[in-house]
Amino acid sequence: MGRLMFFLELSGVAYGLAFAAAWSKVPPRLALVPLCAALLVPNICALAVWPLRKLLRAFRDGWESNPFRKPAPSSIEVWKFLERVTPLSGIVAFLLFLALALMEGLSGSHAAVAGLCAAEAAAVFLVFQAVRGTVESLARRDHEVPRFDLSRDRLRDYSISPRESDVAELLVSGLRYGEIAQRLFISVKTVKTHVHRLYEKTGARNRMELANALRA
Amino acid sequence: MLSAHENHTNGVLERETLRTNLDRQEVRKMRFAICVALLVLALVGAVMLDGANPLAFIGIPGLVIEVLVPVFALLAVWKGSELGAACRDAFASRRDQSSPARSIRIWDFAEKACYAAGALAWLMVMVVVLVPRVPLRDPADLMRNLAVGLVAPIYAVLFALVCRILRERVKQRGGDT
Repeated sequence: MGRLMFFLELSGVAYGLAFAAAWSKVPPRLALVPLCAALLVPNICALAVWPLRKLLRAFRDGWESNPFRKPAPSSIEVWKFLERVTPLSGIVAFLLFLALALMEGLSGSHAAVAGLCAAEAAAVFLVFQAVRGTVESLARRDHEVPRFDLSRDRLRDYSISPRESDVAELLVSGLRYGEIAQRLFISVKTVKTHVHRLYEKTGARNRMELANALRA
Repeated sequence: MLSAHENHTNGVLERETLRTNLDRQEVRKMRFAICVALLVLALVGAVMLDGANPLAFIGIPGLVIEVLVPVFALLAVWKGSELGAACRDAFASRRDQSSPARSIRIWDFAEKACYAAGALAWLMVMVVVLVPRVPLRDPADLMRNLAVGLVAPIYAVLFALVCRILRERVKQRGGDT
């Protein structure tokens, strides 16, 4: 998500700069035109290939913050398609407005809109590329955490509750608090409480000592 | 041995399945047609928002080159029946597709042929514009002629976009199977 946000910010800056450069030439209502070319056209093309529910799933997967949720295989295809189609829609829009500019003797407004179309398409392309990369890396990620077997006897000896044992298992497997929280559908604060109790009950000071205390 | 009643039931079920498949194909074709119309409308809307006349982009010579050159190029490589199968495969379900691999190759070739035809048309217009038969009086005329030369590449990229959509449809095996 960090890389994605970076690209989003980058594209926002690129668009802002392009718009600021063209501001004197472009009436505000024309800001909608490049958006139409760069966002609307690729999405309409995707709608011609996939049903709406798969597109919505792809968008959900693209912005998924839970690293343990495996994206659908169609989501990667959707983002790849959007990535490939965006430059084409940008080229069509650029050519359209360049032709208009030439027809009216290289009119400033049309030429500026043509430039904005190209800039916006490039920015949206970068965003789609980043989202595709994120979805692909999520799909490649091993969603199964290596299992660490805890000793049932020791758990009973330390009177560790079933939920604490779930947290202990993920903790000694090397997951971070946030990842444990996402996997067990609880808050990070609750994870910290469970970890505090685990350390208290076992007398461990870190996850290494906890692993040694609870090893099967 | 199946009884007469079972045979009748099986026949009815087969007919129902066939009808459902045909209905689904119609829905897919309809969705594709609506999306292509929306695609053109989005671009026309953008031009109108800019205060220009979209009719200025209707160029019959460019359209003829863009349609005929890729079609002839396709016919030079594949048979008519294979091209027909590629069109059917774009809307058929996974089970009903005849040869998806060949269809993908065909749509890929069509997309590239569209680009080539667009470049060819643009070069032809450039030759006509830059080698005028009569001396130009107004430099604005040169601009207008150059603008006309851009109409064919616009068609080229639009048709290539449609070919890419069709190729992706074949690749995804009917999209919603």
